[in-house]
Amino acid sequence: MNRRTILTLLRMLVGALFIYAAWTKLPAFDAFAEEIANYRLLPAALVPLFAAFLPGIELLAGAMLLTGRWTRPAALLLSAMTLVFIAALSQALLRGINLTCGCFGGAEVATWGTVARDVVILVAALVVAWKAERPAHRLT
Amino acid sequence: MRLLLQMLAILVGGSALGLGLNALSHAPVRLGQPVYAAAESGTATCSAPHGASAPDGSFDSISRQEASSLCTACTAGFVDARPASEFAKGHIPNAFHLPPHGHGDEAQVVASLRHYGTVVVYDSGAGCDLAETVARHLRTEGLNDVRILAGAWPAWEAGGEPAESGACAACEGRP
Repeated sequence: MNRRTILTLLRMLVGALFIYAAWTKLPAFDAFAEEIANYRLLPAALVPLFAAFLPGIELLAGAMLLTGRWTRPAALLLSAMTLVFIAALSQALLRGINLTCGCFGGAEVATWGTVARDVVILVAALVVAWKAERPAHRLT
Repeated sequence: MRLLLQMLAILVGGSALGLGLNALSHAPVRLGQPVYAAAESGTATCSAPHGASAPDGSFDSISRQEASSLCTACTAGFVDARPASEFAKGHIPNAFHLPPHGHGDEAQVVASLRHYGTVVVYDSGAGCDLAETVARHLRTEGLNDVRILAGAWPAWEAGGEPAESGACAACEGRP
């Protein structure tokens, strides 16, 4: 398996991951809003907007990575979002807030393991962004 | 510059997509209605770490069986301290929804609870003290016989006790 194939698989994997993350939130936007509120970062009035926006952005950007269109902006946007997730999770853990992370639906409790997982996702998204749309000879 | 514009386009397009999906969802978030954390102090899903919010024995507990008989006889007011989405999925029939951060109909709920000799508070029981926080608040409102449901909602559900779903109609003025 050459480097280009690996990068293509990585791009599709990251895209699929964010599509899945969005998919898990679609059945219950109201519950996702409560999970966002529990981070205690946003004013209560802004929480519903973020709860509505985030799954849509994850879905669209994830689909772009999966299909290979606008790969770099989509990967950079998802990287920036993941960085915000890492910061939000970290502040909650440092403040001793006991919460579910709201990452992939369900009732997954946020831990430092969750932060570590997000760091891995961030690195993967950055690699995709960095290597995206480069000339073929740079990739092989 | 082009890259930034493309990112902005995804951001705006994704946000619009999210708004559309929310509008189509069976459990949408109401955009104009603020959403608060599960508790304003202590932890988020719990008002305080289990066992730390109040000395043990501060509130009498009540068994599921005893609570069930009070429920059937309508001689106790039931208060669900969990978040609104969990309440909507299932709760004790005619229970009042009152999370620790309160809500707009809180005064009405407290007034309604004064009609009952006993108030039974419960939460999700997942290592949380939401019920204790709400019970403490109710006690400061002058309600004396406030008890905590042993085993919380999971015990009620597992025991096959009656339940109903939906928003809190009782909060809007049931006597």
